[in-house]
Amino acid sequence: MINTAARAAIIVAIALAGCLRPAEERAQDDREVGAATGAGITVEITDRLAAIRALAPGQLELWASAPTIEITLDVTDQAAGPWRITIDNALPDAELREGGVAIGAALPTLRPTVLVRDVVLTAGRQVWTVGPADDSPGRFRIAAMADIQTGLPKVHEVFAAIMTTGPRFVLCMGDLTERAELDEYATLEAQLAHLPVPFYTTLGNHELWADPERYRSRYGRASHQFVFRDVAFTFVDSGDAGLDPLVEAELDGWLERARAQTHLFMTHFPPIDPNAIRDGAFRNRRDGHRLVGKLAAGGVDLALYGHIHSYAAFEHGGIPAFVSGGGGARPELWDGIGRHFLVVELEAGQPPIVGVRRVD
Amino acid sequence: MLAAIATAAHAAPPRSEPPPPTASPKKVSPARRAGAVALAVVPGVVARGLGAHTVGADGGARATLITGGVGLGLMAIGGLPLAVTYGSAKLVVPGVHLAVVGAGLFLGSWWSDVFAAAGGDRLAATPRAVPRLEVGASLGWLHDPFLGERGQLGAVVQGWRGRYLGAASARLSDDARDLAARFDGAARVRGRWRRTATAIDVRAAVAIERERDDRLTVATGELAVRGRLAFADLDRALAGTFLDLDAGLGLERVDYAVGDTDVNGVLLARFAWGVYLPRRRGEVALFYDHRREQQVGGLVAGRAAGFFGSVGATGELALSCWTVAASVEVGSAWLTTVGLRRGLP
Repeated sequence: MINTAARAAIIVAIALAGCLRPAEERAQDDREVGAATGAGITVEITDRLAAIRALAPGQLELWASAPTIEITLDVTDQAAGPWRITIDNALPDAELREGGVAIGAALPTLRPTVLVRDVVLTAGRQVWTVGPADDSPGRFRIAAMADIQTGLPKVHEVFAAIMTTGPRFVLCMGDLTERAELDEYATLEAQLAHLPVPFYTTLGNHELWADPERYRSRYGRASHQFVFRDVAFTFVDSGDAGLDPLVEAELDGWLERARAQTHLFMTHFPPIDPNAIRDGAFRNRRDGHRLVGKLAAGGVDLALYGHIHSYAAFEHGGIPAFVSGGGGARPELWDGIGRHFLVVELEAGQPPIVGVRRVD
Repeated sequence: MLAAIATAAHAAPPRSEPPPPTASPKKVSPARRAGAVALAVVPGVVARGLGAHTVGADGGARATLITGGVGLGLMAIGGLPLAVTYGSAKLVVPGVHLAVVGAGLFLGSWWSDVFAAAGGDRLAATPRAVPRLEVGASLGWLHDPFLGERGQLGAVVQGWRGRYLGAASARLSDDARDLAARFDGAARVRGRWRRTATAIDVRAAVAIERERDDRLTVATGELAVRGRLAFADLDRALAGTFLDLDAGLGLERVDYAVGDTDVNGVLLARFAWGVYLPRRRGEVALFYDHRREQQVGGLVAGRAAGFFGSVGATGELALSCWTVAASVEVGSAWLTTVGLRRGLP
């Protein structure tokens, strides 16, 4: 009896010890995004900034996680020939280019965020970019939101409200679904058809209710960084109420890379709840403090969070920070807000200007 | 809540002190006892008191039923509004306090019922007197996903003067990257001084920690009410078990290497259920601590990540003037500590 109990205790202890890094495997898998070999070609997306949704003979489909992506193709003799390239979640004015020159025959699409080109691949290496013609510094506007969850069937109303503000693209701090069910992802895809600008996102804890591969195969990396008009945007995966050390190490590099730029940081869980005694935040407040310290040392200009189904404007480490969890999930009561999103005015070298818009 | 428990406990004869219980009130066969334990464990989680009732300890059954019921009620009063409002900031205090204290009563009464069903009162385990002054040292091992493996060396001095308890402790990591100091003070407002029996303390603490790897300095102030209920004060059949409850608030000041200083609130809520060791040798306990700003943080709780604090076990073994203490705490990190204290005249 005692032996059985001791054995059970040891098993539980080992299990607990092994669970201290719940996001480790996810962080490793994240690094595999945007690279594939098949149908006679090898595809690699620089910085893994796109998910490869399909790679079949004559057909390549990507979901872009950034306004500009770079695609490197190694084409075998057998694969040379006509291919149809589809880039989903692209800026409406994006173009497929090789050496700065637009390539391929454009095909009409149902949505402005889908770019389809018929190209003729030649054997050997080809490096393409997909992005807008003008990515030079200048003022632009974006929207930010989080926590759609059970609000998925009505999120097109949020998207419609967002579009009245004229954003270049939308940022999402996770919790796209309630339970990460396949039909929820299908609904999200259908709803995104109502959004005529790209939707760049990370995952939230609700995307972990089922296999996170469902998220990754559709939307790519949960942790990534891109630069648009000399403004850096960094997303990190905090879906388990904290960052994995692999992600944090990668963040160190991104902070260094963007040190001289206006820099926005997005993740699902706030490191510290603005109402700290509630602790709707990282599971270890020390990890939260360390992250805030890094963001402050890295010169981050704005931090955006979700998870808390409310709105809060606050500062941590002197960095302006916002919680905006008004994407349609069951709202926190008595906070006087409901469905909402943020509108952020950005220009390289200038501090971001943030406003909040209600949907209802 | 704590006052009500202590008042109820004090209204009963002070059985948590000598003379200790020496035997179960009734002779119970091994088969019946095994059945009682099984009943206390499985249906007992909802049908509280089944274990004690099966071994003929109806008073104990009634006591666990009442404390379990009160606990369930507090969990509902504190937790349901938070669930319904999806964590309204307006309800965190006292909602979380009530939920954690309620969980302590609910689980503690369950485990006491199992203990009674197993005939734990036959151990004749009772509270003990603690030395007026103690000094000690400890060794700790921290297993943290970010900080790696860290040894810790600690020192403590603690003592009683009348109803007042004071303690000072310090901790240094083996790589000298982490240094912490803490000062505790408490006043016993109910219960006997220098005893591990039923009592209520009002406690305060200040702590400061300098973590060089993270380039952080965190200073914390705490004010809380801490209570201990020795279940023997409710019924003799439950003798040997106790429940600790702790509820309060704190503030932390965080200084970063770069950036403005932050000041954050800290919610203090903890419960522990334990048993005294025979012959007044000390105690062992299991605990849940809701706070997440200490070394181990909160549990990696899967879908519920970010909601829970840490869990662990503590133990103290008193051997003449020496006390061996050990604890294991599991949250986002593991912390194992072994210490030795010596009572001074």
